[in-house]
Amino acid sequence: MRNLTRRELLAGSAAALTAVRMARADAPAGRVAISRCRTYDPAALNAALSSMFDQLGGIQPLVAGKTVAIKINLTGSPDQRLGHTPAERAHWTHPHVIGATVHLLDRAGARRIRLLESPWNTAAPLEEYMLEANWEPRDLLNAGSHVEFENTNWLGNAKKYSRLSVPRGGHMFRAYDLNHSYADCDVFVSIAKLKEHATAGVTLSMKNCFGITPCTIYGDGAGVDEPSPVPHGGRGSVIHAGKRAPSKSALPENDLSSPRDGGYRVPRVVADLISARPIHLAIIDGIETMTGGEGPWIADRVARCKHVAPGVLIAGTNPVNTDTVAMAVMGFDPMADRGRAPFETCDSTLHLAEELGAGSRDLSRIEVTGTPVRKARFPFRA
Amino acid sequence: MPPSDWVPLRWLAAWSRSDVSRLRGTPFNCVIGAPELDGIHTIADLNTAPVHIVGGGKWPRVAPNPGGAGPTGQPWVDSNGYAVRIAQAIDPAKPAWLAYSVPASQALRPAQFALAVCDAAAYGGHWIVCPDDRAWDATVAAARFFEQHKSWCTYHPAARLAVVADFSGPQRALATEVVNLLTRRQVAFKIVREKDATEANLRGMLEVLRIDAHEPASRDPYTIASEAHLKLSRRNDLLRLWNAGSINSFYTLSPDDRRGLLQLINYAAHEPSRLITVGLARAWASARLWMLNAAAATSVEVRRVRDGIELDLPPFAVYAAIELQS
Repeated sequence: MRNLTRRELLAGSAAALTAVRMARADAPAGRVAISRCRTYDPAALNAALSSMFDQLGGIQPLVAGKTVAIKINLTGSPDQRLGHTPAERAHWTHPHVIGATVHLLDRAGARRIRLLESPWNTAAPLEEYMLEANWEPRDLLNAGSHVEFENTNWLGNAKKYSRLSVPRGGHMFRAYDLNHSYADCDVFVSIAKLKEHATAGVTLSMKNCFGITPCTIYGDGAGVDEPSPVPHGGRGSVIHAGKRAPSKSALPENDLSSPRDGGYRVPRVVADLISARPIHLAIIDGIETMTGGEGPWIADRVARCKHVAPGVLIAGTNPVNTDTVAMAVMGFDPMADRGRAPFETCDSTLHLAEELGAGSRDLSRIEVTGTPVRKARFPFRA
Repeated sequence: MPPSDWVPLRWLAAWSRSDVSRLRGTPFNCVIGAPELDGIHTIADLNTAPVHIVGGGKWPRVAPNPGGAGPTGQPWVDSNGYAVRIAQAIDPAKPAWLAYSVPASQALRPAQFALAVCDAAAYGGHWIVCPDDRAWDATVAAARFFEQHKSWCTYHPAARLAVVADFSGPQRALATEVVNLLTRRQVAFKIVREKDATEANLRGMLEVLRIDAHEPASRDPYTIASEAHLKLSRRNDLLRLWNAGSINSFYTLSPDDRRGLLQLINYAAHEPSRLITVGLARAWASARLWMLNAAAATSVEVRRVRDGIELDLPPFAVYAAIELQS
């Protein structure tokens, strides 16, 4: 192979930069709302979220007459707390935020609302998982006129998994086989927690969707040829470390020679997933949360894990935009890439999603309504 | 002195009669394998003693887990409490004793000997203490604690699930392991022998798990325990623990049901527990916390949560007991 000339090298670099600039310029940039909210009181939440939805242009056109699927964040095991702090005040989306969202969507005319999560290591009903954490799932079922739960960590209530393709071929997989609930919906909402993440830097509305992959196919105990009947373990060996393939019934990885590093793989899978399963409404619960990582299990390794109360809610109709604003509120530069906080050891999910055309991470292009970023800022690494 | 009052200790071959002075002031009043001693009950042959020797006893500990504990991984625990409960169900008239030896060639700490005492005594049984100079004070202190709280042995298990089994024949191993796993799941259950499974004895139970001769021995005990808990529903948990990790629990009620006792045994004995939160379905009015080496109980703030309560506990190394008052 001959060496490139300097002219060719410069031309190639310019072309690459141009492509990147075009990707950023093309990537959608819309409006993101920030609201100060220092309480989980349902009335206050209803008021705050209602106002935010109005600032986003209203949700009635989005959900009226539609089936709305909401991915919530119940990561880890329900028998874990950050010290004595209950999960919903540290690393889980708070049930009152979920309930208020359900109520407002219902009031806006949603025909059916389905609450989804892939709880750890179980095919048991989502209600049981919530009960174990001392939640009352009936409160959520009663927040709207037609509310359901589904555990999406396995086949669930359908006869087959739904294959959702990633536009432009995807970073890691061309398509993902998911529980039917992620296909059988008209509107998809991600309700996340405002958190850092040990592998991916941050976990916000996009990383929340990492959990839409069923562990029966993409998990440690997944069947080799066919999905296992029930999920076992997490996604470490398939997605994080790439030590084994998903069930052969699903599509294999695009490039088996790609790095087996979680900091490379996880952000790419997340970018793929939110491109395959677009998010129409992203909500981030930053009223109370934790620093240092995504859950109490990180506290063994990271001394600065602690409960904090930033007192903010963030919402937007584009997840990349919403996560961009959330990162800024957390005191991070949304344009950061690997090597810079919070992506010291990983690639930026926001950048990778932007490359797939999912949205812009350029804060200057995003209209922020409600509380300004500078007033909402709560540095996570202070 | 009736067998139910015996607190057993193994006489070391290296000891002479004068070593009986070690036992003065301690709870140990029954010695295995000793010559005749004044004022101390001696048992020459355990096989003839009016006690139930629990088979398969093992040194209590957290077993090494090569996979490590990730976001949910519960450590594997070697414990004997479930076996003591089974022995008591099989033969309620006899005290249940564990006869395992101290593992050789291990750098054992005093807390681990205290754990061995607690692992049996919390359930009303006894480990036949193997004296060890490394841990004599800790062992005596643990044994003394339970002697001072002997009235707790009159309490009965709080339960909404009954496990009905005979623990004999080909089903014995399966039934035993199911009881072990239910214990690790912090399920509040009681054990009822098949012949005692009357309406009266099952009154108040929301679920009955029968492991009988028709249960295939090849069934997975983990699946049986999980399904039983699911069938009972988490909504009917009498007890929940957060950050329990290597801790087992035993929740009992006084004969008049007005007082409760939650005992927590930490199998990672050599290090303090994480910050544990206890959730109880019953709205107890007050709670007092006992720890092994504390002179007195301390009050614990009771936090009302819907129909029940939560209690935030400080870290503890080996054992804690919460007395509850309605």
